[in-house]
Amino acid sequence: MKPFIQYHGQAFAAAFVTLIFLCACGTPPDKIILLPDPEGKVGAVIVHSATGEQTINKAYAGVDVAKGGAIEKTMDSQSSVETRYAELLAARPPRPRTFTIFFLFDSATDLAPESLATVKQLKAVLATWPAPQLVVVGHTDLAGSQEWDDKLAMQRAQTVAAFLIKQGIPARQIETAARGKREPLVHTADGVPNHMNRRVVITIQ
Amino acid sequence: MRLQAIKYALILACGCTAVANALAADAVAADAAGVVKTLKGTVQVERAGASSGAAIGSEVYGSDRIVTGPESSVGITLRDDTQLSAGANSILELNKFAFNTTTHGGVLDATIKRGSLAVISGKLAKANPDAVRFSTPTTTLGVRGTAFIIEVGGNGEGAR
Repeated sequence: MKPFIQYHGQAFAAAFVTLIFLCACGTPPDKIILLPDPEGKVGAVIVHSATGEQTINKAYAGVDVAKGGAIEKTMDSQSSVETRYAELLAARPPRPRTFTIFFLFDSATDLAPESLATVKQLKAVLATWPAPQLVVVGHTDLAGSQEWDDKLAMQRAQTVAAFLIKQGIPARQIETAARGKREPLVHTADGVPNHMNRRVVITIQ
Repeated sequence: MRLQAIKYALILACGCTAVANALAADAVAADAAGVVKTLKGTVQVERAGASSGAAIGSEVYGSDRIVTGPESSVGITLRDDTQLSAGANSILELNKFAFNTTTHGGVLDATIKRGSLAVISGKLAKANPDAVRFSTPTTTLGVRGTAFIIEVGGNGEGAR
């Protein structure tokens, strides 16, 4: 009698394992696939599940994560990803575009002469942009204190915003902000004046 | 004479209210997390228990839930330049969003409960990668300045 129970016990266990296996197969895993960014660079994503962690850092590499948390590495090709996710990728918003306006000398009000041509280009892009929003961000060089530079950067942003409005861009599409000395175009030591860093960057979102 | 004075006082008060309302509306607009840029088919935005159809130009906010129908999709640009798109039959929850244009500090926490999501990370992930988190019903993703696709298996968590 005992061997009989043991035999059946094993059979039940086997059936149970098969059942779990079937359930796992029945639910497709969550898929994560890394893409190159629009500039062609490849970053990384770190995927955490209930039971593990995996870093993906190659283009078109990915992971399948089962409901229970098991992570399996995958490798796709560019063409298979672009075919499978064609509709999803087509729905991506346009890549935000930036335009830079420079200033004369140390001014917060006098724009460099090429500014008019830059705004002309910007307006051409705006004409076909879905629900455009312009983020106008002022920057300074590394001369001056952060507090002073934040104020100067804001003045520059407002000067450019006024210029854009004068050129016919609706004020409600424009948001101004100041980044001060936090993001120089040309890296210099603190306190160094540099005309390339005295600028306003307009991002069309 | 007195009537006239009351009339002017009223006009003044109404005018001020209108200005105050306009300012308040501006303040709300500044809190928007992002704007709908592409749209196909049926896309609903659920906010505070109410659901409304999205259109190109619709604003989305932190704690909005975005639901796409069959053969539908939506593309949203967030204020930090993060680009999101959700495919058909998807549920995307924007749990938290904040972005400071001056410092590039803030937070982005979104969950794709069902369907598919494509992401191109923005300024927040660049300046502050630990502040950006995407999740599915089974995983949490940390983002190191990049683009990726998430496809939720089966009907996800939000199937009802």
